[in-house]
Amino acid sequence: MACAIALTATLSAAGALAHDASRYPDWKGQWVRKSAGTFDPGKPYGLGQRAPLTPEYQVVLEASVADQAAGGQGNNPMAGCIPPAMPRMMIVYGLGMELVITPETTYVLMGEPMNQLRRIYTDGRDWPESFEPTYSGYSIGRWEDQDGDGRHDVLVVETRGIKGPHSYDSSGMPFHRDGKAVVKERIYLDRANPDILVDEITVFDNALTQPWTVTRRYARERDTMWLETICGEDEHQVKIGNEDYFVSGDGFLMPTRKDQPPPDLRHFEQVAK
Amino acid sequence: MLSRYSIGSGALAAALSMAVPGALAFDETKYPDWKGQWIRIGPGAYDPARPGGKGQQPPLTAEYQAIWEANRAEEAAGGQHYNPPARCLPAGMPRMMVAYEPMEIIVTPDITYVHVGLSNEFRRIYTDGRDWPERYEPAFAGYSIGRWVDEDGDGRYDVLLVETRGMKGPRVFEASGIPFHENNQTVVKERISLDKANSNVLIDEITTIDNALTRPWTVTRKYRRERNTNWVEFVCAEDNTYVFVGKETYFVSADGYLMPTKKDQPPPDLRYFNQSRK
Repeated sequence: MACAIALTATLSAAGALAHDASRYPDWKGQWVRKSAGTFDPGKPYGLGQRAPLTPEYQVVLEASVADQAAGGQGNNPMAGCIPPAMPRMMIVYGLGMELVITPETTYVLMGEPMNQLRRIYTDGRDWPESFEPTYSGYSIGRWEDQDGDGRHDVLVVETRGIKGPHSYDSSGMPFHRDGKAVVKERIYLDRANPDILVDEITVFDNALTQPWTVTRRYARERDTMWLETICGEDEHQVKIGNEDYFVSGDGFLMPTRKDQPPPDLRHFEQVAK
Repeated sequence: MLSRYSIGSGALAAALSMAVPGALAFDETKYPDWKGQWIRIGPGAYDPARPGGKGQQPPLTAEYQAIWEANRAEEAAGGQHYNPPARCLPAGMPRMMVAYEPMEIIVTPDITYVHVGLSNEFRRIYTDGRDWPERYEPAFAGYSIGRWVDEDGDGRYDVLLVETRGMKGPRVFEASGIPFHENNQTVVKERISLDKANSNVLIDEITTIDNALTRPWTVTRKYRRERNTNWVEFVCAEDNTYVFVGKETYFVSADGYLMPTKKDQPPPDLRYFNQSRK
């Protein structure tokens, strides 16, 4: 019998090449945001989010909200087709995200607005000595079997190396310019409903007076239908210097606010004459 | 000895019976090892075996040959309007398989995912046995259905045959502006496999069938594997200095001024502004 156990163990070792899907949660499908598009889905937009910002960064937010009220884009890089970095990308825009679990990496595939890809490394690696900052950041995850049933149920993730410019949501709540934000997440299925995915997100950033935790939820659509949404495809915003302009459907440059000066055309010969 | 064999057989049976629930598992040994970072071998011209630009000799119809020549003339004059990625649009299929930046391929039983670093271009190749859906929304990457083949009969798949339809425009084959037919009825067939002589080289034989072509056009692209991956994000909008107003291509200088891209180019029409800057 001891030999039998030994042989079984040997066969299992060979099977280690296989990805035993039964050890991982079933997160297949299309996950569509259930919550509002604000960073904290439980609170109103803009100043109503009551982000725990330091006074210096509260001023940045207030300026952003004021600029948007005047027709500008404020501190919202996504308006210029810059991807929504971590943690904003986990708001999950449009038709949702897909999660692909492999033993070494869990991939988070975003559709809208810019086909972003997150790689969450679960291969036991430590933080590399150096890595290039990216909008998605560098994520290391660890699977936990919290209910002890032999199947992982929680993915605990830490993300560092997030590149700017980025904001929490479209209102322009800012991150510290030092680029040292750290995001910790706990991702799991709702125990009461396996078609709901929960992401508890905690942000540590020097623009905050305290860590900021929000909880986002996503509903599963098993009959997937993916649409490609390309930010640049229908993009009419044009940035020239520090000014935002708009290109009309019939191809004319237009102001985005009352009495906005046109671009300086000093480099065109016809104007110089 | 007999008793040991007898115990062994029992153990084998036990092990096999334990393996039955494992049918849920994704048996990686059935699929080729395509892990890692795949970096383009050869130039960024669509057919890497031929010189760029005019040397590509695409089998275009006369009508589309004229469009290509106009595109090349625009390029020579400094314009890029014909080249969608200059406007931060995706390259789309099949151009995305030029892999301007490294590519990752994620193989799962139902779907093989292809991600290219430049502007996060991304494909899903469905290998779950589905047929073409009655309708689907066109996409730059198209809609791809694949079939795994075990050509050498060793019990492990080695070739992925893919057909892609439903591509959206505007697209061109490469930066010189080789056009597709405006009807967007392009069909792309691929044969993706590891090089039998070198498992760190991936080969994609790409055949394009399009009404702008006089015959199907086949090219072979190769990629080398880097197992020690280092992914870098390339976001087109981040430092794209081109500005497109109507049909004109301008660019914005480092100090924030709108600049012409060709000699004697007219500036944009500012009729919608209340004031004009002197």
